[in-house]
Amino acid sequence: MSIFGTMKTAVAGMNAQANRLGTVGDNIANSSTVGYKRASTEFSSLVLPSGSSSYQSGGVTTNIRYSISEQGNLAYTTSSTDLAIQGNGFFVVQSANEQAYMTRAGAFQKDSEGYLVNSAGYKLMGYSYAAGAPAAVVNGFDGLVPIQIGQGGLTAQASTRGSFGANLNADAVVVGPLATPVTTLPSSNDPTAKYSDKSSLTAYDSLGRQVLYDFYYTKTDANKWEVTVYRQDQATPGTGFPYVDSTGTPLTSSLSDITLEFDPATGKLTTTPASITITDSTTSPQTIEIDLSTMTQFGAKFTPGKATIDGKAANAIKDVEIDKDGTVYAIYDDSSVEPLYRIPLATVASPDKLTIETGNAYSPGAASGVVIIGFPNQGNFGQIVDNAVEESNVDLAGELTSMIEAQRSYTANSKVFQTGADIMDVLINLKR
Amino acid sequence: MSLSSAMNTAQAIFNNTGTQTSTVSKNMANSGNADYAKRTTIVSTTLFGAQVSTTVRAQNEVLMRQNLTAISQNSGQQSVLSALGDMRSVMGGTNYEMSPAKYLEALRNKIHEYATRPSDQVVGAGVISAAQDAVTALNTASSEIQRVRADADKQIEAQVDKLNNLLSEFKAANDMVTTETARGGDPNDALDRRDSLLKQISEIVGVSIVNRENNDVVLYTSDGTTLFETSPRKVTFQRNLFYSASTTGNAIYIDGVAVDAAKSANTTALGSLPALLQVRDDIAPTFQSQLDEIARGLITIFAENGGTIAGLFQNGTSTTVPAAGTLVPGLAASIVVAPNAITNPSKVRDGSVNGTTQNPDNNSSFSTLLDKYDQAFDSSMAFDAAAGIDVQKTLITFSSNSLSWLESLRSSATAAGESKTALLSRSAEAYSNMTGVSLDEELSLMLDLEQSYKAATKLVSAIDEMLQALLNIAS
Repeated sequence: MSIFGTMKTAVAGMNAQANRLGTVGDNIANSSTVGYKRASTEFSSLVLPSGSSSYQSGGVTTNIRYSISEQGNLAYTTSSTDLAIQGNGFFVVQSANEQAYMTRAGAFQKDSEGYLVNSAGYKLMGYSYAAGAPAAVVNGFDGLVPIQIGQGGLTAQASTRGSFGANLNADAVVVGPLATPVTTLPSSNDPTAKYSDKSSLTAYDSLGRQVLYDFYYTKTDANKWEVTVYRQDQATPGTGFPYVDSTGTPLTSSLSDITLEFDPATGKLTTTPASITITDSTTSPQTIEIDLSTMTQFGAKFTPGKATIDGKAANAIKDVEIDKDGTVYAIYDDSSVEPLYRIPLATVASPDKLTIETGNAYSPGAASGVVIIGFPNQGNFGQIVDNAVEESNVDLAGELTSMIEAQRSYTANSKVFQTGADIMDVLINLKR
Repeated sequence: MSLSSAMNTAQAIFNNTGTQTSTVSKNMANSGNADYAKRTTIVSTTLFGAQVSTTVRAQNEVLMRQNLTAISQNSGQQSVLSALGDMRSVMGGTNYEMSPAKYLEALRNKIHEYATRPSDQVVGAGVISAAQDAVTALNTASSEIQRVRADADKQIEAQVDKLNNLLSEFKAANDMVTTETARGGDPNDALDRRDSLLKQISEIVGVSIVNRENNDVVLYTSDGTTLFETSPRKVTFQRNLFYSASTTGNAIYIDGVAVDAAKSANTTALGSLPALLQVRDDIAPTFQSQLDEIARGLITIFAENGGTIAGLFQNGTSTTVPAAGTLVPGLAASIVVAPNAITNPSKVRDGSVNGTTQNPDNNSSFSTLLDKYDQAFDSSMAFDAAAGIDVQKTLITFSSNSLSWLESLRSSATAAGESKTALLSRSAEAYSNMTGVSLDEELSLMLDLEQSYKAATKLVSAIDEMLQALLNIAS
């Protein structure tokens, strides 16, 4: 039993409440900080051995805790590079000295060099698509590069595959050697060539130039159709045939032709594989495979259906879109879309024990466990929401009540101290 | 739920109500715009509990397609109808006063009169003047019909130019739609523009639409020719400045495929191009053949020397009589009254305009030939089937049947035109019921929005008071 001990206990209590007030102050100050996770204090008693007839007052120790794993509200914004995480993951970011950190603060903006930088100055990192679709390195930050957009200039992509579906008229008149009178087929490139129907498709060569290909559909016999392909820019104006090369000499053959056969009973295609491969070396060697497997032959007029072909013209990045699975797509001027990076999410075994760094960033330490990296929508990493940021998880009302509690508690501790001091005063006054 | 998240919710209400109000005001501003499709802002809750609003555009593809078809049909029918109206006015309007049939009737009456008074020189001169009237009528009709063809050609050229322009504008609108859709922006204004261009393209040529990724579309003509796929296809046409009966018009090529002419009075045309081709290559040339056959009938009736040499009427300077039942293209334009007959009308009586006189004694009452001419008008003769009407008829009947042919085409085209216009207005109405703006709806929605905005302000002030109360205890 000691008055000094009681006074020391009161000081410990006051210190503890000062710590608590400190966290409240920080929380309130950062209540509008994107990605801020609230700090709180928990106390535990410090007991001194005391007998059954005397009490040794101990003290209190403060434990600072961070609610890092607690999800904050999502606030929607109008910027497509504002990202929020719904779930357990963290963005991997890089500081100016190239140190990797984890953060939930996703208010990213493109800087002058094209990096996505958040309000604390950290660069967002991701895996590049430069060498094909990336895979995550599970247990470390290796292979991650800062995401940089819009530095590529113009890019073009040559067409390699496409598809075309149509109904060819089963009742069309037969053309070619079996017709009366005999006519020539488009594959002969004869000026008098006849065909049943024609359509055309836009493709791109390796330099991104638009090339139009003419597709001729010719019924050569019952249930048999010849598909012939030519480059439209080699056509004779008006009639098409003959197609000529750059010197004006008629071509000896078409770019490609194929005979399609149909089942007379069902009208479905029986030829396999039903694709035509265009080999065009007019400007630069290029091979395009067009899938014709959805062709039908019913007793209805020629009805072209969906036609697609890949590749794109040379153009610059117009915009960037970030998908829920973390893929960063570049949107080009001609509306084509291409993946550039994939944003991974990181997590640790105990997120609440992460080491706190300035700028709402965290780094894994011994207490938290090692970092685990994966992609959004996988495991428990959560998903990425664009056009949104995660608000701080501070509740003002809770902080204010906590503040009042701390104040009262502090006052009570000071009363204990003062009472101890008064008692000491009495004790000292015993001897005059 | 904490107070700050309640505040957040109130803010979301402000945002959403603001977006909804701007949608409503945009709808109101475009209530009179036929090309505008109503927008609706829908507020929904995301997986994460936040409320977001998305604006959707009223679309109905089925009705849109139906409306486009109706536009194409109507535009084609109106092109045919206006050309037929033009041809009818060439014939003198309601009573066909200027038609060759009327002048043939007058000529025949004069011949009849001359046959009864062959000595009367004044009546003889009357025959010549009636013959000249008939020739003028044929010449004029022929050149006017060719003018109708040339006009159709000119219109085709203008329409082809317009189509090329529309297609390049279509590319711009379509690119905007695909880009905005790909980047998750607002493609609605571009969609409006694209739909309005589609309506204009449909007036020129019937289209069928195939959708692709990112709201991209491929346009084919109703015949299946590619019209637009990533880039517009070339539509080419070479105009002929002058048309005669033997001129063949040039084809219109879309992506290298010739456009087919439409058929029948209730035309199969989708869009004005096939209809104008039908006028240029079918209706007007058929009528021209009928005029040529009338001209050939006249030369045949008045042929001299037993039908071996042309008489009162001849083909320009040539005096040969055309073969029976065979069309001579352009004869109606080149038929003339023989110069010999003009200088001396009694040569018609004597059969010596170009041939040997049948009246060697120069009897002033010689009427054998005139009687024969008079009767020839009533006896049936062979006509070329290419003229599209009866092959064995008297000349008078043939010429009036020619008018009936034109009139029946015109009346069935008029009837078809009325029903297609009715269909167009019905389908446009159905489409606009689906996509148009209803001011009543918008106004009532605006009242709702006002209420929810006010409720949100109440919410904010309540939260504010609560926080204030909390702060007051802390002081």
